[in-house]
Amino acid sequence: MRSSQSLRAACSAAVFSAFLLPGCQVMQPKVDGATGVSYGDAKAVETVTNEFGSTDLQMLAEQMAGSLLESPAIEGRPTLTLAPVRNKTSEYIDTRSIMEAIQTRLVRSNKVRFTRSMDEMQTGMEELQRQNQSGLYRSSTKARMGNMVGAQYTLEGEIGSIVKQAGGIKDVYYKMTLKLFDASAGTIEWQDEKDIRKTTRR
Amino acid sequence: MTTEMKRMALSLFGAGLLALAWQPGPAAAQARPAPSYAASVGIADKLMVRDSIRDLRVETLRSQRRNDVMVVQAEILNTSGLDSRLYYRFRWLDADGMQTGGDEAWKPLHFLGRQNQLVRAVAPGPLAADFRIEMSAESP
Repeated sequence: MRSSQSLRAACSAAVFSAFLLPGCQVMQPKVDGATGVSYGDAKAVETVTNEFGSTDLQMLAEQMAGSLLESPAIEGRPTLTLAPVRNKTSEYIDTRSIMEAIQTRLVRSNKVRFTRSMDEMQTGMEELQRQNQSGLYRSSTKARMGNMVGAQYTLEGEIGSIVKQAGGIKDVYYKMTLKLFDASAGTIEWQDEKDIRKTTRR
Repeated sequence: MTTEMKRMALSLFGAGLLALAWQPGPAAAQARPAPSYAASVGIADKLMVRDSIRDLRVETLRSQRRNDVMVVQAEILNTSGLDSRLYYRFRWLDADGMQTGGDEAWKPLHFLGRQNQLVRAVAPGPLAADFRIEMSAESP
């Protein structure tokens, strides 16, 4: 009788602890080293300084891609390629990153196709040479030489700035101009410019 | 009828349909008054306002399809004599109500007292069939 009771008590304790213990050990889906690091909204408005920042990049990319998407210049899903964007500002700006953001939006729209840009050409040539000259690949699966598609249009432009400082005020004005050139005729088929003003008062 | 004329007619038809879609029925309009930030209940249904946008009010909303992508224009009025700041972004939805094109960046917009501004956005692609405008007076 006693052994039956003690067995029941032992079972109850085991069941209770099985439910209780995981409850005490609260698992968090993060590892926090108390360093003050936290994740934020990547799309939030960033105004840490008045230098070119993530919000400027995102706004320029959205507005330029939007302007091009509603233009009749890209009817018929043409092929485009990226040309380098000249940075004429007084600060370092990763213009390639702006163009990549514009390209991403255009490609995702499925309204245009992009060919390899000059920067991406070397990798493409190396891959073709590897497949065709190494002797490692079955001939039926090789990417053939001489099949690349030439871009109908090149997307190129520049970004400039005017910086003025007086007393405790610093004013920065950015202007980005983007042009879509017909690669064959050399004519401008679309052009737009976007500007941003940032002012800091101390 | 030329292709351009057909496209224009389709755009106007689409814009008309959308405008009609935003007109609430008389019973619905009586039952649900428009919030202070929108000129009508139909416009309010297209807005996602976080807490309040102070004295700003969306007066009109227009939509068109251009080159097979949706273009939206909102007219926003600062009803106060004081300057104000708005943060906004568009959300694009496909015909099934699923978000398309990912999240846009928040954009700041400064209003002078009593100033009226037009905000314009182009959908990320032809799949977008509807939209919402997310608005906030505080920096997100």
